[in-house]
Amino acid sequence: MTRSRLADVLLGVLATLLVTLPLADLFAPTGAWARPSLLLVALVALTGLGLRALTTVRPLVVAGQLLVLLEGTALLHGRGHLWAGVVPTTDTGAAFGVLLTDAYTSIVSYSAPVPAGRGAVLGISLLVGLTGLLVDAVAVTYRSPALAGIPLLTAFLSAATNTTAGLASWLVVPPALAWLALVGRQGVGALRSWGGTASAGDQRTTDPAGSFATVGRVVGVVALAAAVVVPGLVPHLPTTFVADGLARGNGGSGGGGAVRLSTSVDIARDLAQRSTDPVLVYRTSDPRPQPLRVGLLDTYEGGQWTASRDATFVPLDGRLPGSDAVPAVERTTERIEVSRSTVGLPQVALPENAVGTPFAPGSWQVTASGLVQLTRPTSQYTVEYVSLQPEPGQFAGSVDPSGPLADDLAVDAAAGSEVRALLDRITAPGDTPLETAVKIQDHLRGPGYTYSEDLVDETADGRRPEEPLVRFLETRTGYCVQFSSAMIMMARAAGIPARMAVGFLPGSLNGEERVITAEDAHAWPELYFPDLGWMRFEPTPGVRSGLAPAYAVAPAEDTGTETSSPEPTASATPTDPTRPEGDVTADNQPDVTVTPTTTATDVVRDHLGTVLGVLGVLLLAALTPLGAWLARRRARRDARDDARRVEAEWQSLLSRLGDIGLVPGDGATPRQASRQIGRAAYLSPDENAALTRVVDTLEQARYARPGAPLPDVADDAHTVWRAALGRRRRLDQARALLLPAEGRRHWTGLFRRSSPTSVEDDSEQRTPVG
Amino acid sequence: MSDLEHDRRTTTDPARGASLDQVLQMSASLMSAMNSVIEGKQSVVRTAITVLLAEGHLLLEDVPGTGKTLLAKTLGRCIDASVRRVQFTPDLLPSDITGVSVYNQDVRDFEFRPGAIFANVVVGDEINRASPKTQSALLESMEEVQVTVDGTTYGLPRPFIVMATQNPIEMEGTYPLPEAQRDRFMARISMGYPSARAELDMLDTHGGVSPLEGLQPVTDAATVQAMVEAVRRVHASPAVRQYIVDLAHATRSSSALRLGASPRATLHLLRAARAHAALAGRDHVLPDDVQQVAVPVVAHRLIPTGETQMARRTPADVLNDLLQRVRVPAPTR
Repeated sequence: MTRSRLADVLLGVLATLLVTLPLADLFAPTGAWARPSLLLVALVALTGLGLRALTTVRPLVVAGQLLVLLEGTALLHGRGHLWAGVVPTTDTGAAFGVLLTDAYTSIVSYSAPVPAGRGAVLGISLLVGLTGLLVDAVAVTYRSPALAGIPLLTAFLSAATNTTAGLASWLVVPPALAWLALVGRQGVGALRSWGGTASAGDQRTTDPAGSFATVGRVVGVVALAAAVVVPGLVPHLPTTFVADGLARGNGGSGGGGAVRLSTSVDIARDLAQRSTDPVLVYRTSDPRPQPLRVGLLDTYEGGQWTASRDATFVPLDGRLPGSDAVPAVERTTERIEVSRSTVGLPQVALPENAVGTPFAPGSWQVTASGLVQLTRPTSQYTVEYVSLQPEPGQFAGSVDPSGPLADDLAVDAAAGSEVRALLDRITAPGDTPLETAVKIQDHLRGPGYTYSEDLVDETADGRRPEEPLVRFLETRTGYCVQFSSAMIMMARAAGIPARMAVGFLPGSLNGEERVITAEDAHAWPELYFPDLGWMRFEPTPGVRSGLAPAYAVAPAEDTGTETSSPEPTASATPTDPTRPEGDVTADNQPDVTVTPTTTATDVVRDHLGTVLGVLGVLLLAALTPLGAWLARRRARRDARDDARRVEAEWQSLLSRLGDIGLVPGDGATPRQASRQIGRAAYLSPDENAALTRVVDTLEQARYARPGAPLPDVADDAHTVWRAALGRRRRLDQARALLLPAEGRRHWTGLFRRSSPTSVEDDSEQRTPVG
Repeated sequence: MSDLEHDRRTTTDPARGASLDQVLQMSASLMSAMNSVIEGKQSVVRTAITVLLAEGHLLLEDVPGTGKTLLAKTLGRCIDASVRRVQFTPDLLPSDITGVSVYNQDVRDFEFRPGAIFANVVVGDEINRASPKTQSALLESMEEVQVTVDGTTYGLPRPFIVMATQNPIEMEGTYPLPEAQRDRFMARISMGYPSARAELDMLDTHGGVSPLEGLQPVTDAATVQAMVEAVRRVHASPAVRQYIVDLAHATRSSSALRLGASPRATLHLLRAARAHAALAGRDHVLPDDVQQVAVPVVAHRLIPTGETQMARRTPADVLNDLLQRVRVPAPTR
């Protein structure tokens, strides 16, 4: 029964499954959702096979498949909600509704990879099953495999647009191949049904599908190669997530001018700014650039951070305050050169522990907490700063709770109990201050928390906590301000002075320079250690934050008990080697172990896929011309006398003219062939004379008494070929130069010679024409 | 044909017979002499001379009054050689053609009286009006270039060419030539009606006196024989021979033909192609030569199938199709 068409069904199933491959980047663990999806697709395909064998009514087949898909889904995921254990009821629908809502929530709130909970598994397997059904219905039941590309593409694109770093470009190849095979099978089948139309007396039995299939294969392969290579060459914009896109939809305030971070209100507004105008352009010598600080906030009241009204002063020696660390701490001096800054007065973006005298005397001052402020606008400056690399032991020492830092130990009364409860849960009594800090940081960066600029008001059980910090700890959803606040409060509760720094992430690389936009606004906690001074920590999840400082990264065995946090592991594995350099943003900085300096080798390695792809395509493209060249060379070399040389020259000329569509009639003599070519190629009298010389020599070689010396006709043949080629369309020229028939014959000839089956090779009869 | 003349090569061969130059020269004067009588029929004249040089015989077929006999007579007149004309009628006997032994009272012995066939140029007028018996007598001598009467074999003079004319077989009172006998003629040509212009000229020139009257021979039998020798030496490469064989095979396997070309046809085709090449001054045969002579040489030997006849396709049409399709072989390695 041809209606069932097993091969097409299998190809459809294969394409559907391959198209879901990118989902592995989106949902983890893969096994959880892959098995039910596979099961449902197979079920739908089998049902289709069976129903098509039974009936020709297509809608019936599709309806049957849909029923089976729904029943299969119900059996897989709705156990306990089925009537008699089999029949889905409204209860099943309601249960599925809850699961799907749950799936939706986790999809919009998590960045990839989303943990594949029950809801997600249900959603994915249902969608994959539906894709399989659509593909099967369109490609097999309705026999339009080309249209099946649409559901396949939809499934592929929805996965592709939601992955963090963009898909590896090769991922498009397997499903595309499966789909092309599907289309190709159908096309060849349709052509075969035309039947042979070989003319009488012609011994060649031509399969009408043969030549079309060859053209089709070439088109398919070229399209596929282009699909892989071209995206690698075209620069693309940074990828964002569905959730981000939804959250930021209302931002969009452009406009230049000075940017000043609000030191009292939250940073969400700046984060939501989609303006791409640079706030700051700078170069840095630091291989791991730090965030740049513009403000310090130390007082928390009613959910708002404010800066205490510090007295400002100018140091007597006119130098920036630098670091408070004891001399024993290992340190390096780094430098940033700001070439353009639009940060408004009095703020100035500086790294921690800035030293030296970068600003003119009288144009700056320092607050008591060590924040540098400008009094005169300065858009260009160069600052050196001390980058500390402390040993874990140097974090020891406690702070006098009643000392000058007492204000930085104040825990908010409204949130105190929740903060302490959480602190007790994640830290052990004997922890050192560093261990405590790292545990707090890692807890907040862990998978339990969701980064989102849209704050959630309600907790899972429907309460609406008033205090923002409590709300954050309950809903576990927020952005840098909430994460930092939580860490600060917990650190303070643990006896470590802490305050909030406001500033910018290091921005994105643009050639040698880094560019900071308003979107890079960030807040992070600074914790005080007696021997070191204020040290930066990074509790905000890696989706939108800097790296945690090296000293704040716990050794591997100490990292939390749950699955690893998305950062830094997610960014440590370069998932997309073809990603353009300018796209490197703060959230996918190389990991600590990778040297972040961009060298030529890095560029090559990052673009290895593209380079290899381009090389491969070039190599493929050069293969046929190379074959043609080899064939000509061999013919010339093998020619034992003038006659054979002339003959080879003529055959080569004919073959090349054939490439541009100039084919003399079957029974044409050389002379007739030359007349036909001369007419069809619009040869000028000179070129025609060259052609006549070639043909005359050929006639001498073929038909006259052997032995007479013959002139070399290579030049004349070349003249004719160039002239004929020059008068064709560019497309034909390119095809003739890239895919010469001589080259194809050369390679197929080699292949045939190496395969023992083709004893009676008919090329002897076919190739010599005219 | 004009395209074949662009490469007149003056290759002189000092061996026996005429050089190609002489062939060229002589055939040109022969052609111009004939063209002065036969108005506007250059290709027919050329084919006739080709057949003469290829040692073949010519069958002229057309409706009455188109100049068949005139062509045959003109060729005979142009060559200073023995020319005999036989008017075939239903009561013509074989001995009238071949000759007869009569008893000579003086020598008291039988003496052979040669028939009309003993000449260099024999014009057989309306050959299909004679009975098959008489026809066959002529055809035997054509093939063997000898006559056997009463056990004695008499050779015929060289060069020897029979030019027979016949009316199309639909005409009344004719005995159509059997295939086997048609096969003996190297070529069949049809005169065709002259163009209006040529017919007008004909009225002017032929109105008064027959143009044959003033025609002087331009060559003689020995020269023609030397030319024939030269033609024999024209080189036919293996590729060309292969092509001729391929063509013959194509006619035999063609579904449009009931009877294809005979091996004799293959032989005639090669000889005619040689002569055609020589007339173009070339010392080797091109596939183009073969194609040019193929229709006159082969077409009259082919018998179309019923379907082909129903489709109103002549054997010449079928042959032209085959010429378009059969590949010209390149030399084998």
